[in-house]
Amino acid sequence: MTPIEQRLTDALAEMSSHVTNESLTAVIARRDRVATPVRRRLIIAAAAAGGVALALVPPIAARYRSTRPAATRDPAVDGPAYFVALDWGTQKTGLYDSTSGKLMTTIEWPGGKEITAVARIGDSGRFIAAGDPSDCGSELREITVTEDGPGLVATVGPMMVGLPGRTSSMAATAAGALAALVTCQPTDPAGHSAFTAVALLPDVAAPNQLTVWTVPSNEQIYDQGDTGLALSPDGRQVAFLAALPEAGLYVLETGKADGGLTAARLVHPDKDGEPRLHLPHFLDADTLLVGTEGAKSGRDDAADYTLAKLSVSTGQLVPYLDMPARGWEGMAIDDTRRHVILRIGGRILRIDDGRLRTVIRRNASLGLLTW
Amino acid sequence: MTEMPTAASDGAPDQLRRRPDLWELYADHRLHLVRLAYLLVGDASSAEDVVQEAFARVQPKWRGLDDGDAALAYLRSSVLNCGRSLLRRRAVAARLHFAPPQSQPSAEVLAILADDSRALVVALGRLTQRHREVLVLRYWGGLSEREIAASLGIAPGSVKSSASRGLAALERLLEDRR
Repeated sequence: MTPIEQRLTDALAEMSSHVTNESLTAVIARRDRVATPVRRRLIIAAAAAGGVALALVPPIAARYRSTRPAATRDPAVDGPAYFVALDWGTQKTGLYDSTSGKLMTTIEWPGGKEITAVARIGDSGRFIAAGDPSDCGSELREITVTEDGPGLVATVGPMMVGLPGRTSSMAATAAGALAALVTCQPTDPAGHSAFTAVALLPDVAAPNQLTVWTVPSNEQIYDQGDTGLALSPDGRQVAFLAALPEAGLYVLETGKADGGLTAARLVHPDKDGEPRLHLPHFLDADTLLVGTEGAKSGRDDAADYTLAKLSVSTGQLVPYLDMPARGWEGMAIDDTRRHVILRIGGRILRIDDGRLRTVIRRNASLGLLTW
Repeated sequence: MTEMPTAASDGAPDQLRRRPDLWELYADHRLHLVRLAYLLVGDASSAEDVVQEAFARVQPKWRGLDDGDAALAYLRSSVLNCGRSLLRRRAVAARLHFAPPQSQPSAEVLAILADDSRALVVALGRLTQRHREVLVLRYWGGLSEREIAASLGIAPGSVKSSASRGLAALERLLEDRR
């Protein structure tokens, strides 16, 4: 445990110790009669009163609905018909309808093993997935999605290549280049030493070309689960958030990385006064789409969450779209770069040519978004 | 570090998957859950309300929960959600000038803490909600990345990233204070 971790642990323990059984409000209840709690009864009563109030003012409610932007009610949108996601509740990965957010079919990894990362290859229903993780290994398989009457079928192919760690995020190009963030955490002390690394394959069909760049010790790549890495459409640049040792968004040119990750260039520093970046995705060779989180204002959690475009060559950040929720959680962009799906503050949203639509309104438990 | 309890931590092996009744869970874990809420919302009476509301939300779904650990995990998530709702309501009230915004403990709470703990707690209150939740669940609750991910409904990788960035931000805030 580092000094800051120890100090935090001690501070939290001290603060929490001031709440004791004696300081809690006494609760009087008979074990054989756990009635609806008072607060709940009050909530029900308030809800009933609210219902009456709403019934009395239908014209106002109707007028409010009619002023909402028509675009958000328009179900006829182009773009991918489905997205791949992992339901954290059931731990099942599946294909979800990209308009309604409903599960269409599940993806079964051989042996019922876990899928830890997914990336799309091109726009023809081909995905590459990492699964069956061990302490220091995982395997890649191709997933092919085909239509079957009104439904879809996801077929998982044979193992293509093994990676030297648990794969937590991946990015791929239409031509089949792949970048993956892998972590080896051996549980056997006599075995390997632990490391985090970026693995790069110029072509997933040629596993002997695998390059692994280990993150220097005491430095780290911020693993954002769904989006730890971005790969440019030509496969020549990898973008990631890291502290090497300065924190920020780095871009590594894969053809000039003889020195490994230390050759990466800091494009946007993570420092006070600058928005913090999340979930980078390449729009083209010089532009990244990123989630930004502004500084908190005041003592509450108010902060602006905005999608922005970042120039790789100049570092200039241009706001693109304000978000209606807070807390970046995952994002994916399709091959046309016109359609984005993202999870923010428990909502699943999609953006089609700059128009924001809600797919799942609240408490979505879906991760590993890919489309 | 406080260990988050499991629902059947004192039970015999054949009882490990037994689902306790709601009252039993309330009696065993109310204090721990109030402490968790207290660290997130900053005052004890609100923390008690948050936990009360969490239990009220769990009650209708009680039959669908398979075992004690699942029920406790669901309750923990519910406490986090109710805490978030409370902070949102405070933020709205602050914008309307009805009340001061607060994700910080009150002056009374801070006054009884040792200097270093006070600095840490104030800095923690200045982090984003996600970073604060991850750090509290990890360094107070002692939960694993996977358990925190399940409680917050996010990817385990995001837990790791939030913890790293949260700690880095905490260090920066403490350095600025010097």
